[in-house]
Order: sequence, then C-alpha cells, then structure tokens
Amino acid sequence: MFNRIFRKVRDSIKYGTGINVSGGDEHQSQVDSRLDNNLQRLKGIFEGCADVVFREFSLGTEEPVRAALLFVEGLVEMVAINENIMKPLMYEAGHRNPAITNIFKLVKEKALTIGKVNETTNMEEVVEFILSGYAAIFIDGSQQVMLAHVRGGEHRAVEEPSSEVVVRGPREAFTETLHTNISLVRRRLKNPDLKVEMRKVGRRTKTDLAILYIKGIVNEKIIREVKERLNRVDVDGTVASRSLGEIIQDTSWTPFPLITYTERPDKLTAQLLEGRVAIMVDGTPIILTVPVLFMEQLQSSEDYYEGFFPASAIRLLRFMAINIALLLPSLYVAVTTFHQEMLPTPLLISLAGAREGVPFPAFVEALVMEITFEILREAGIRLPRPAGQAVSIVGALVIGDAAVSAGIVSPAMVIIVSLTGIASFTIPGYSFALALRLLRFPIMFLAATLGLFGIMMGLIFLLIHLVSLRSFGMPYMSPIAPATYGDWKDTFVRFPWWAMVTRPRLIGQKDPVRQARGLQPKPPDKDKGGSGNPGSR
Amino acid sequence: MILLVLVVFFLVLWLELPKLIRQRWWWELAVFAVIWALALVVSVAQIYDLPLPNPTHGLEYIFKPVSHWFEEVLS
Amino acid sequence: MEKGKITARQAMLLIIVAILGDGIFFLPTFVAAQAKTDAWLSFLLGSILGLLLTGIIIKLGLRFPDKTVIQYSEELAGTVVGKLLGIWYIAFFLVTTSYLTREFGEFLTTVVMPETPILIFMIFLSIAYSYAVYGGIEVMGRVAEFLTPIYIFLLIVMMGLSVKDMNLQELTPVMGNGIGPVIKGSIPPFAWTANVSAMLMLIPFINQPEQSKKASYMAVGVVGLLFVVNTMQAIAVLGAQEVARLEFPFFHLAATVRVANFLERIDALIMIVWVTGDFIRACVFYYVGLLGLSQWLKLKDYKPLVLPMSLLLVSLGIVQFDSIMEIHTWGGQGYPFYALSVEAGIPILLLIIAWVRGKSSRV
Repeated sequence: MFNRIFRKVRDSIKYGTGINVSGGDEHQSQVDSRLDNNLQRLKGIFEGCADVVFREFSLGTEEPVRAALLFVEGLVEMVAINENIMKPLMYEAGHRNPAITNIFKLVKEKALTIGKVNETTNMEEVVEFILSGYAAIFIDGSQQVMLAHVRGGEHRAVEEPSSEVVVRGPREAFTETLHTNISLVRRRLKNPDLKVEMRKVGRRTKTDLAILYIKGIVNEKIIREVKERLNRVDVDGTVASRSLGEIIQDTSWTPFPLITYTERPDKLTAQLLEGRVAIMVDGTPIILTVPVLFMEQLQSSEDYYEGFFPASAIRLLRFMAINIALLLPSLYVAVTTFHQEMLPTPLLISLAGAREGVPFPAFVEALVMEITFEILREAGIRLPRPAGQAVSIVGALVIGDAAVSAGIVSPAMVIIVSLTGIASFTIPGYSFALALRLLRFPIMFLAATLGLFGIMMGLIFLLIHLVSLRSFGMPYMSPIAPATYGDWKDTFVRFPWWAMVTRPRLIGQKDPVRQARGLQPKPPDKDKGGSGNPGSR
Repeated sequence: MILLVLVVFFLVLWLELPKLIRQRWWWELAVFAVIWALALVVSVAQIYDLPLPNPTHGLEYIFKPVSHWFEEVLS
Repeated sequence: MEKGKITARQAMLLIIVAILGDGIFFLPTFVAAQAKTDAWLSFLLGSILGLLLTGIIIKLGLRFPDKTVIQYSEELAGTVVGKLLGIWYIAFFLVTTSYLTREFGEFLTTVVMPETPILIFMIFLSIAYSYAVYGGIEVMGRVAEFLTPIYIFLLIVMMGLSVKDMNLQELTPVMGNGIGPVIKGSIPPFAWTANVSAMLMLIPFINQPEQSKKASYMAVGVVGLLFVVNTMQAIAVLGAQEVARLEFPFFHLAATVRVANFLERIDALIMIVWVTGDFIRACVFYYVGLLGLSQWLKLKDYKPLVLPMSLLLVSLGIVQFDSIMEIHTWGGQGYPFYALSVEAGIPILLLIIAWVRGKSSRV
C-alpha cells in the first residue's frame, strides 16, 4: 500500500530531459524539408533566448534559394561566421558547377570554407549542437542540416596555477575550456595511445566530459569501473568537477579525498603515464584523476623538479608536518593534563609557569584557539586578497598577543596552535589537509578525556578506517598496507629518476617497465674513450 | 549505569536489526537475538550483583587437576 | 561470507602479534615462578614445541587449503564429534578474547591511569576490534602490516635500552634443579606459541596457501627469539625472584631504563606496545572465534554478530574474574592446559583421523 503511494509520488516527480523538441512524436523530431516549418519550430524552442541568432538569407545562386543560419552569439567565432559562411554562401555559391545539381551538396562541397562540418536530419541534435557552439545552416527544400564548427568566443587564457604552486616547473594551468585542456595534455603526450573519450553528463546542462587515459598502461579494470560509474550518474546538471566526484567516488563516509584534483597539465601527464585515468569536466579548471592513494596527497610536483636529495628531505619534512598538524595540540593537552611526569623537569616548570593564571583547562584553551585559527584562515581565504592578508595579520598577531597578555591563553598554546596551522599548510593536497584539520578535533577530545591512551585509540580507529578505504578498487593505503615494497621508491622519499624503472605496481601493472635500466650517470668508459652514458636513449 | 547499558544495547539493535530484516536472514536474526539477550542478561545481572554461572570456574574445575597432576609427575 | 584475501606475509604479521601481544608482558612471571633462573630455557623449549606443533597445523591446514577447520572437522570426524570439536575450538577463541579485553583494562588501570574505570578501556578495545573485524580479514591484514613492524621495532628499542643494566650472573646456575622445572615452565610459552593454530582458520584466506608454511614457521621463530631474549634480559636485569613476583615484568624492565638523563620515563612507549599488541591479538582471536561460530551455525555472514558478541565478551570479561591476581593464577596454572587441549589437541586429533581415513580436499 505504502509502496504503491511512494512509487506514484516518485514517478510524478521524475524530471524531463530538459529539451522537449518532439512533443512525443517520433516523426516530429525529424527536420522538415520546408524552411519555414523548421524556423517556426526552432523559434518555438528558443523562445525567449535572446542570444540565439536567426539569420535568414538567400543563397547567391542563379535562382535564389532561401536559407537560414542559426547560432548562439558568444559561443561562436564571428569572423568565421562572416568570412567563411555568409560570404561564400551569398556571393560565391553562384559559380555553379553544372555537375552538381543538388544545392545542399553544392553548398557543402564548393562553398562552405569550414574545416569541420557535420550533417544531420535530427532536430534534437541540431538544437544540441547549436547550444554547444556550432552554426546550423538550413536550406529550403533540403531535409538535411549542416552544422559548421565555428566554436570560439571569449574565455580565459592559460594562466599560472593558483592552488598548486611550484618554484620550478611549468607555469601553465588548466582553464575552463575543455578543448584547451585536452590540447594542453595532448601537447605533452604526442602519442596515439592517449585516448580521449567524450561524453555528456547532466540532463539539463549537457556538460561535456572527457575521459583521458593511455591505452596499454591503464588497468582495464579501472577504466571499466570509471565508465560504469559515469554511466550511473543521472543528474540535472554538474557545474563543478567536485560535485561529480562526490557521486562517482567509492564512499562518501570519509573525510579523506578518494579522488584527486589537479590544475597542472604537467602533473596530469605524469599521472596518466603512471596508468591513471583523468576525467575532465567542461567549465572547470580542476581535473579529476583516479585512482588516488593516501601517500600521493603528500607529494608535490615540486618533488620531481628538484634534485632527489632535497626532494626526499622535503618529503620527510612533510611527514613530520602531518604528524604535527594532526597530533600536536592533542599531545599538548594529554601531556599537560595527564602525563606531566613524562616531561623533563625544567620544561615542565616553564610550561606550568606559562599556564599559571590561565582560567581554562588545557582542552578548552586548545579548542578555543584552534577554532579561532580556523575562523581566521577561512576569513583570509574568502576576503579579497589584500584584505585577507590584513585579517590574517590582525588575527594572528594582535588577537594572539592580546589573548596572552590578558592571561586568557598561555603563550605555549599560541605556539602550539600556530605551529599546527602552519604545518597543515605544507600539505600539497588541499582537500587532504582539510581532512586532517578536521580530524584534529576528535583526537583532541579523546586526548582530553583519556590522555595518551585516547590519542592511541584515535589513531588506531583512524588506521582501521584508512586501510578499509578504496579508491576505484585500489587500496587507499597502498603501498604501505598492503605493502608493495617496490613502490616505496616514490613514497616516503623520492629515488633518483633513473631508479624508478617500474610504474606503481597496482595501478600501472599492465606495462610495468617505464624506462631502460642502468640510466644512472657514469664516468666515461676509459677503454672506448666515449663520453656518454651507455644506457641513454 | 543501567540506563547507559540499555542505551548501548538498543544502539546495537538499531544498527543491526534493520539490515537483518531487510535481507530476510531469519536464522541469522535468531542467533543475533540469542547472543544479544545473553549479553543483556549477563550485564544486567552484573550491575545488580546477581549470582552468575562463571564459565572460567567450569574450566578451572576441569583443568586444575591436570595442572596438579602434571606438577606431581615432574617434581 | 569472507571474500577478502590476505598475503602470507600479512598472516605472519598477524600471528606474530597474536602470540606476543600479552605474552611478552607477563609470561615471564608464570615461567619464572616455576623455572627460576632457567626461565629462558623454558621459553626455548616452549618455542621448539611450538615449532613442532606448527608443522602439524600446517600439514592439516594444507590438506584442506580451501576450507577452515570448522568446515572440515565434520567431514573428518563425523557430524557429532566434528561439531563438538568445532565448538570447543570456537569457544576457546571467544573466551580468550574476553580474557584479553579484561587484561587490557587491568594493565592500563594498574600502570598508566589508575583513576579511570576499567570498563572504559575495555569498551574502547572492544570498539576497536569490532571495527577491525567488521572490516574483514583484508582490513586486519593491512592493519597488521602497518602496525606490526612498528611494534617489533619498539620492542627491540626497549630491549636495547636496558642492555647496559644486564647482569649475567643472575642467569646462573643453569639447570640447578634439574630438567623438571624447565619442562614445567615450558607449558605456558608452548600454549602461547600454539596460538599459531589460528592459522587453521586463516589458511583459506591466504592468496597463496602454500606460503603459509614458511609464514607460520617464521612467525613462531621470530616470537621464540623475542621471548627468549626478553626473558633472559628480564632475569638478568631484575633477578628471577623479582620477575616471578611482578605482575608485568616487561613494564618494570622498561621503567628501569635511564638514558642520558632525559629519556627517563618511557611508559608512553610501553603503553603503545601494549595497546597495539593487545589490539591485534584480540582482533585475531575475535575474528577466528566469530567466523568459526558463524560457519559452525551455517550463517550467511558473520558481521551481524560482531556487535552483540562484543557486548557479551565485555560483560563476561568483567564477570569472570574478581581481580588481577585471579587472572594470573588461572593464566599460569589452568589456562595453558585448556589452551593446549584446543590448540594442540584438535589439530593432532584431526590430522590423525585424516591420515587414517586418507581424506584431503587436494586434487
């Protein structure tokens, strides 16, 4: 009974496809051979769309034939419309080749100077193409419609990345235009094995989507999984890649990102070469890549643009930083509340001296300061840049100093909180850093109630959670657990590039070897007197 | 204390019961119910200091003699 | 029911901690009470017996590489006897999990946080192992892969720190009272290393079952080595009398450590070792017991039982003992025999039946 009612309600709120052209009848979606009928229908469809241009004209043939051009202003290159469509059709189509009697064929083969032209007889397709930046040419008496690729118009140029900054390395970042983004990758991977599969998502937005992968490296299971999950997506519209990612990732019940987002073409290329799959969404410069592993969140593309000693050292430094970002306030709370005896006496005395007169227990103190810090950080991001910096300075220096001199918090706490905050900024993965900052609070609570034991239990819960996560079928904590020691060459430290002969095992197992062995620089061979290294290609 | 215990027990019920009923795993549900009830009896009895059979005492009854016998043999 | 697979290495790491977990903390007490200065010889003997038993267990397990002991015990010994053996095996693992939960709390209330009620610690541990067991064998394998290396590293660090306090005179006389006490003392270590019988449930979930042979021997070998070294050290630093008297000799061993004036209290390290060890040990025992129980009852899944059973185990853990002394008496005297009746008795019995009846699921 309830089920039936529920089903009825559900059916009644099912939403339509957005564009209703046919009115239900199959024949109606075909293009009519009479121009007036077509134009009337299209005017009905585009009623109230001021940016759709209807241009009616006559073909410049001996006996004029009526024709119409449709396009959306702003999505198309006006120069191409004027020079390559209107001009030849109105003037040059007159030099009629007697061999061609069909006007439609004549226009397509002799007049239109556009590289990419599609034909269709389907009205829905016509509408879709017009809306994605094509110009449609209708000719009276023809059932076919020409769709000329004149996409262009205004968009942002390729600029420097803003969220993944590196000191050395390419300065290009993805833009909002899908085709620009694909070309940025294609320029770096001149290989027919780089496959780009297009599809559309969103019933109303019809957002273009591209799946990129390198055939022969990518694990077939992953690519099948990606396609299956994208097929499952049935949404009204998607404006940002994040909202799509939330639907296709393995589980939402985790603070950790199970999909990475990058805006760097160089990084994306390297990831594709490791056997990953990229999903590009039109209209956003943030590209999704899957699968992703925990440890990758701690790696920056900078690591590969710097020598391997400094890069490895910086990586180890980041490990310290995540431990600080996650645990330092909790350790402080636990030690000052429960385990004072663990500290060396002089340190204990100075800490106790600093805490003297502070009215709150360490936990409340830490909680208040951490939340204040998070508010300042958020304000600094949301405000326009110059004001944002002012807020950070006022917040950090003035409030911190005032709070200490007013005796509300201890100076030690200010040190702890700022250290924690700064440490969390060293993490390259932005969403990952957010997750860590969030998890700091429950662990702090455990520390305040149970001391070190609480922290320990918190970490065990965290570990169980992490090892049970999967990203598109890949265990999230690999290569640590399950351990694949071969991949440790690029995990905690970064080995020199000549030592990274194999790809990450679980992801790129189809074609594991990526370069020749023995590429390390050697002194010249004395016997032969040569100068190069023997392994180089 | 008793309230807290009941809250925990019903939390467990709330977490697991719907899944079992949805999948129509009646045998699993029966086993679940038996263990759940047993646990409830033991903890409530513990709170009110009621006498309970102690499985360890049973095991001791069996294995203490073995232990003694073993010591005598080796002494 | 359980679709996950683990590697032989993960199984090895699980077994290592499943034996060491609490054993390294207070087994020396039981053994030193019997064998005095020869306690380390008892550990050596116990570990050798453990290695022999490992051979038997692996022989049996690899006869049926795709089944657990609960599944083939009926096939081997008939329905009634098979079922009885099965529940005997399962009950041991579940009861031991309950002991472990209690013991976990006892240690922490005794040495780390005396003001906190014991129930809090027990509940936290039971949530942790329920969560891990709920995740399945893969999750447990990965947890072990992450934690066990850290665990062993910390153990070795702590042993290393007290090397300078050793007085080898304490270890003499060797076998002053003949071999009798040594054999008597070897029973608890044997019962602990016999925990390798958990492999009887794990073998079907190892992706290459043949490798479980090497993994099990390695596990027992590593454990034996750590046991012997740890006991020698405890006796050499604290003296046999003291070891036999203390509740947690390993803790006191570490508490005596003083390095360069600033590393005075390494209790925190001890707590990490204890929590990790007991957690993984409890995971293994709980998993084996629960999976066994649901196979024994022919359930479709063991997961619905995870939470109610952990409630039962926690409440039983409180009920079963009145004090830590009682745990120690039982742990040193009756329990090892109980453990051996399950861990050695069942595999030996089943292997003999399998030999006689010539049964094997291997092609």
